[in-house]
Amino acid sequence: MPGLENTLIAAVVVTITSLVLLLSRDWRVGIFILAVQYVGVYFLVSSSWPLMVAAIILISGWISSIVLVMAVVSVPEMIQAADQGGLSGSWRSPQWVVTFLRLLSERSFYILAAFLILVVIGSQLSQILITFPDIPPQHAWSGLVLIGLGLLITGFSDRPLQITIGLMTWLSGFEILYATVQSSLLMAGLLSGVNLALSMAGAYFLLAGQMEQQV
Amino acid sequence: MNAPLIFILLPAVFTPVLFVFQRYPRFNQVLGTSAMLVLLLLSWRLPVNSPIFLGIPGIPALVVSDSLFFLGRRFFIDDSLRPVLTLIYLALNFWFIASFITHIRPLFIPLCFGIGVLLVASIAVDPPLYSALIIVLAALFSIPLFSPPGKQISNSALRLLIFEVLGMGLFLFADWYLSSIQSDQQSFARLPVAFALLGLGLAFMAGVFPFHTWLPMIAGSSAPLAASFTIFFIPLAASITGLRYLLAFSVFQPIFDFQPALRLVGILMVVAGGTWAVMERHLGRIMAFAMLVQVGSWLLAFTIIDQSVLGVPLTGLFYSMLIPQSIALVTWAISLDIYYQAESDDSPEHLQLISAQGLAHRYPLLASGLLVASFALAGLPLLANFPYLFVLSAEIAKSSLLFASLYWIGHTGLLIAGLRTLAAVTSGSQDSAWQVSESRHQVIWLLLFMLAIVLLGILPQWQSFDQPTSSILTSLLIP
Repeated sequence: MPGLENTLIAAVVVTITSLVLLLSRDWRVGIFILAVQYVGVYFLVSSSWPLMVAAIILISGWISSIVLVMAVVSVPEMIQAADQGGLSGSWRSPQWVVTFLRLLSERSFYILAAFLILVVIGSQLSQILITFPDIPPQHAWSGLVLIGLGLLITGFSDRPLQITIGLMTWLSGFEILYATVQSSLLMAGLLSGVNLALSMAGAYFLLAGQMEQQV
Repeated sequence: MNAPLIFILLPAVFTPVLFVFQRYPRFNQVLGTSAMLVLLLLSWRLPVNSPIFLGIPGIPALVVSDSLFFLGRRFFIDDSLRPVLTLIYLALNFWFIASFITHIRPLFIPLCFGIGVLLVASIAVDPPLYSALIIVLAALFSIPLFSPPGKQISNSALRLLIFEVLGMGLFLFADWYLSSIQSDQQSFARLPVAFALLGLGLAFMAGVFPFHTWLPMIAGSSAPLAASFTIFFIPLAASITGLRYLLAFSVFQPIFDFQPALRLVGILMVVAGGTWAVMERHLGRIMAFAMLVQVGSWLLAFTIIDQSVLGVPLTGLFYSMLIPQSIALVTWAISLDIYYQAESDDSPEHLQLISAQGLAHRYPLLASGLLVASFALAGLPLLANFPYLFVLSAEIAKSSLLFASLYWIGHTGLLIAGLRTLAAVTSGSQDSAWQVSESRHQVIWLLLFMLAIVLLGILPQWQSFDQPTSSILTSLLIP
């Protein structure tokens, strides 16, 4: 069972990773950070669940990330779009400035929204800890941050990959909160199943147009 | 041997077999439909927890037990749950039979079978919290059904995915919140928040107003038969889960009365569905709004309290409505699907009222199916849905005449939509000759489905309103 320091570090990790997921639009960064986020979730969940059961969450999370990577690399247009979407070319060119300003204004809004979510969670955390005395503060914080920022990631995008990542983040938040209430093998299995099915649905969203048409 | 093994585990093992044979669609149809018919027969006739004498000397009586423990949790099907399973398998069979009448994609049978298995699992799992996770899996399974491979993914699939996952999260959150409630007065003050979270989760998953948008989106962008399966069974599974929670929380009824809120949402759905159906010009989306009205009727049926057991919803009426609704919906979907295959160039966007002008001249049986089904769901007398709507509206009128009137106004909207469809399909040149363009087996099946709708309307007593579903009532533990 991980100690207090580990869960504190895990809480910091999931906060940072969820913020990066919100701000990043590069699929490589997004999926890598998602995989890192599952390590944090694993450490938090393992303080309530047996290690082997918590490992199911970690492994299914990583498999989900791999499924998403494999789906993205099968869509050349998506890789090209990602390569073109970033800041490229000479920094003196007008295009670079326009792109930089657009990204800055977009990200500023995201940062503001995330800040508001974090402030609300921070201000209500003590009340939540009174209502739920059994839940450690780092678990409550991490769970609520993942839920809040997962909702933002899902809501701020219309792209299947981002939406899938947002929903997986949102689900991880519930996994952390729920682990403190109920430790059940079926729950772990079903949550992992939903995670995997979610990533496969995300992959299907990316690949459906390229698949052989069935008549 | 136990009932969950027969009704859940064995069909779950059988589902991959159907996926393997998807290259042989006709064989797959026969295999899937036969399996579904066997499940229907078993749920109807196989007694649970009672000895079954095989009549072979030397072989002891067989007893099918009611519980299966899987990964530490119980799946439970006893004799009082069997009528519910029979109704659900019967409804599922309608869609499997429909697959013989119109052209389906190879994945239709295995996916529908898998979703059916998950639906039964979501009803049998104990405690009901796990149902939410199983329904999400079913919803994820349904995406290739209405958004098939080879076509760009539609926004409806994304919307369904988001709403189902959000709903499941809220279910988990509500359960987490409920765990903090003890049997003291201070804890009871938190009940409304818990119920609000639960209600919100249910609303997301069942497509309850105002989170219903995925229903018309799916019906407007997919093949009608596949869309109708999704828009019927996903809200149904979520509604049954909601009902299980309602039954479990009926003990809190004296402290916190949640029935008025449920009644208000139900009426809103009926009125909104009827109003949108009047204004809609897409035949598939009209079907979805009719379904919205039916989900509203389910919610209203949950608010009818059994007078013999204080505070417990009378579930019989809800379950009785399922067969008339499903048979009308599947007839509607078959008719639309035949038209979709024949004339709309495999493009759901072409299912507009204006494109269907003169349809009755070319496809009279198909047009009849479309109209009979839409009038049946609108609650026209002598058609399948009327007896149940009549009972439901009479029960609503006991508590509020305004709500009863609104209930019929919503259904009048569906009736007007049906009349608009009638005007469209019969319009066109009066000189054009009438001809039957449907194939012979399509004619026979459409006639059979329409006959069933009429028979259910004039002989409603074959189903009992007060079928007990005490297993759902008694087997629940408060999560």
